[in-house]
Amino acid sequence: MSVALVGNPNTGKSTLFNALTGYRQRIGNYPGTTVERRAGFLRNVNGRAPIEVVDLPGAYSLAARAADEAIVLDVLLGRGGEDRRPDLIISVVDAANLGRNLFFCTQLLELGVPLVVAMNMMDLAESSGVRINAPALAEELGVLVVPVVATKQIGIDALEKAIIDSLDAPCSDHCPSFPVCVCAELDGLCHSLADGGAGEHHRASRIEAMQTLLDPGGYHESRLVKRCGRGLAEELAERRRRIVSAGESVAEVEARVRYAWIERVLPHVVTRVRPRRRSRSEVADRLLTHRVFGLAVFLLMMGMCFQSVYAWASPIMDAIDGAQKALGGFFTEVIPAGALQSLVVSGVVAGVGAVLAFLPQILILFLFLAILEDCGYMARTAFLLDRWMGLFGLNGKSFIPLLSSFACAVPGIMSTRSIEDRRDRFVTILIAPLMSCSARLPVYVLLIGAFIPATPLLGGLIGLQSATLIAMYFVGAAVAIPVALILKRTVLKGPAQSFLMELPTYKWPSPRIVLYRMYEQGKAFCVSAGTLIFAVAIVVWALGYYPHPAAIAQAHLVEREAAAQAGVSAEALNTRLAEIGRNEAGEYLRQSFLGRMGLWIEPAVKPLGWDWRIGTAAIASFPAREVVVATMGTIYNLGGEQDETSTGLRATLRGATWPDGRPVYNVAVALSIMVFFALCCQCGATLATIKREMHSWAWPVLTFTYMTVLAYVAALATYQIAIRLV
Amino acid sequence: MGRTKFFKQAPRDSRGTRLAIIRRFAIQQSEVDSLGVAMKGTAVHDRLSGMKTGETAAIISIAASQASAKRLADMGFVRGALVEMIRTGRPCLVRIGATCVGLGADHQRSILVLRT
Ligand SMILES: Nc1nc2c(ncn2[C@@H]2O[C@H](COP(=O)(O)OP(=O)(O)O)[C@@H](O)[C@H]2O)c(=O)[nH]1
Repeated sequence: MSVALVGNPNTGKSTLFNALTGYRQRIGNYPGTTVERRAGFLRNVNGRAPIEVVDLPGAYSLAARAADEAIVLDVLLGRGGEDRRPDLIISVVDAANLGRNLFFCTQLLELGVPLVVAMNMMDLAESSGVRINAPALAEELGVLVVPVVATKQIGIDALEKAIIDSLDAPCSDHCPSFPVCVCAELDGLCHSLADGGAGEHHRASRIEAMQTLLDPGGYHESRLVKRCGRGLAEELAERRRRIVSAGESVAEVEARVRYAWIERVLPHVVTRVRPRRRSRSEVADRLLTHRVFGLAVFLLMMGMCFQSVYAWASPIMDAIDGAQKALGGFFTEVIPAGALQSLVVSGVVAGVGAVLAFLPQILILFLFLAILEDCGYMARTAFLLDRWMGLFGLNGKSFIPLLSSFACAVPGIMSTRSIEDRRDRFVTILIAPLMSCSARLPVYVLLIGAFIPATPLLGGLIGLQSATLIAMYFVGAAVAIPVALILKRTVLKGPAQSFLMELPTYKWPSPRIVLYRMYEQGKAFCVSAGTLIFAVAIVVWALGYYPHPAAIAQAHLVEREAAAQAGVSAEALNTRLAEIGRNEAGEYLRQSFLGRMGLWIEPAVKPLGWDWRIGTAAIASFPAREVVVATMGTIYNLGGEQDETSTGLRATLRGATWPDGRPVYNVAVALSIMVFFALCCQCGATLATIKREMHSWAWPVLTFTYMTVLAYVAALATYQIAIRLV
Repeated sequence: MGRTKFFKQAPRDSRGTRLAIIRRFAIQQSEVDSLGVAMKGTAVHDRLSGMKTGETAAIISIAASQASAKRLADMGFVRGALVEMIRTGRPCLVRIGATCVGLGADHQRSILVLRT
């Protein structure tokens, strides 16, 4: 048995889902897609067999336009296999916005599946001054209607009872009646679909036929035409012509009939007890959607976010750095010198630790985005930036995926599913990896902390370090504009789609939801540090440690003895011995597989100002860019350059030198590395997500190629310009 | 020009009106059929893009491609629905029922309204 939660976006489906299942959920994927399938079990089934609850993505209509709406349809119509078809639909409606929500609800009513209406947000409806008569609505719809307040867990028991009571109830036959001409064409279409062939056509129910007939060029039509051939397309065109000649509009007739029905029903259900006042949300929007003022608020908020990423996280980061050093020291003590000690200290602690040190920054960034999302501001950013997205040849809807990509491109790319136009969606996916995701943050923070002075700018309002960080975030976005325009003019040609988006009412962000999201992202980061980065760190360590020829040890032993017999003071001897130790470690590294590989590629990266170590680290970071920090940690530790007195990798980098003693790093090199990582696509997860969303390997290959070329050229230019200026 | 009450000036005969609508809204012949009622009206007609902040108007018709029209209609932009302009511009912000919706320039131009 399974029941599905269906409704418009932002009606509280997820909140209700959590209330019904008690936060115990399994998150999987729908076959062949990256759309999350959240499922759990009803808490309270009164001794019946377990009932599965599925939370579906939000949709406005059964006439699917966007990819996530298509998922809703496929599930509701049982296309993923009949067993996946829910046995009951919980239609979640927003009581404060009943008119629009009932449109979708009346469509669901015709699916021939038992249905229960969960009328959520009763608290908001009441405070906006309306009284809602649920039994009257139940009477009109012919199904049970349960008022609930999902956030306060009010009405959940009644909803559970209604679900169980309705499972075996007959389906409601109340529905708006359509004009005769439409009904005739529908009957005809149903008939020919049922006659037309075997299998699925028999199940193509009347509502599906309606969505096919009345949504020209829509998802249903293209799907059925693909299956049944051109004949169907011609039949549809003919039937639509007849509807038009009977004086109806094909695209609008369904909405007109349903909304007319709703208009008739609503007065019996909703009574206004207080006159409508301007809601607080509208007052806030007067300010926050203002063309100039709203944009200023937005920029201020973003600036604050980056400043705090930098300022708040520093002390925690230093603590993690310290802990990592202590741990390394501890393992050096307890494990005897040799390959194992080197593996643990240089490979695991130095490598994985270097990445984990950035967890605080990443959590702060996710915290900000989760708050913006949950309070409803995210939709406003889409509204505000619609004109600016015009620069990209896109509309404001593409802005939300791009903004989420600043945290991580993977959820960003997945959230493009709400973009209706296929080409707009693909362009958004292809430029999303250019947005500076949190995995780049470790690279920026490391290099900025080490090489950019903390000069205050604008009278102390912002530091040079934060300003550099912001600049790095801008690089990706700035490059994305020409890339999007070129894509829009060539491979993905098409006009920009006009903006159409609901702006949900503002809400106080729920701490539970915000913290939960932050926790999930933090967990994902730690898991990747514990698996992928761990594995790469070990591979890099092994390549950098072996073959470890004994001849080097012998040569340095001779030197050590010579130093000991030179008869200098104890202090001078110690310094000399430490130097020999470093030389020895450096020699080992140069002779290792990694070292030889690195020297081979050095000519390619030298114009960027990089030495072979940076080049190797960059290549080793192909699976995930934050690995570069781990790899550098391992390489420098192996090379003996991370000495006892330095605090972590930052100081080590400052001390790194070319063989002739010049320091490797300066501001120009740091900038060139940062620019490279700002623009490259070193992220296996992103490429895999692009493949899954676009159903072809050609796109991830294209993405990787264009971004790598771009990154190399830009890093080259940066270095060559900066070295002449600084 | 932006706010002309073109229906008042349009020729009386139906063929002329059709042509006027086609010219003014740059739409296709086939889509004019959906304008039905609009052609008979005599009140103050305009496009949604011509509304001022704070004004309320009733929707008469949508003159857009079928895909756009379907999306707008499903969101509640149907004949007879009342919209209030909250903020003009591109995109503009309107209230329809209890929902705030942002509308881009093309959509604003394609919605015909009757100001009350
Ligand atoms: N006031 C109020 N807010 C609610 C209620 N149910 C959900 N919300 C809030 O509405 C927002 C959207 O809810 P969510 O479950 O994410 O909606 P979904 O998009 O339909 O899954 C969240 O901020 C919830 O806290 C309710 O009954 N009353």
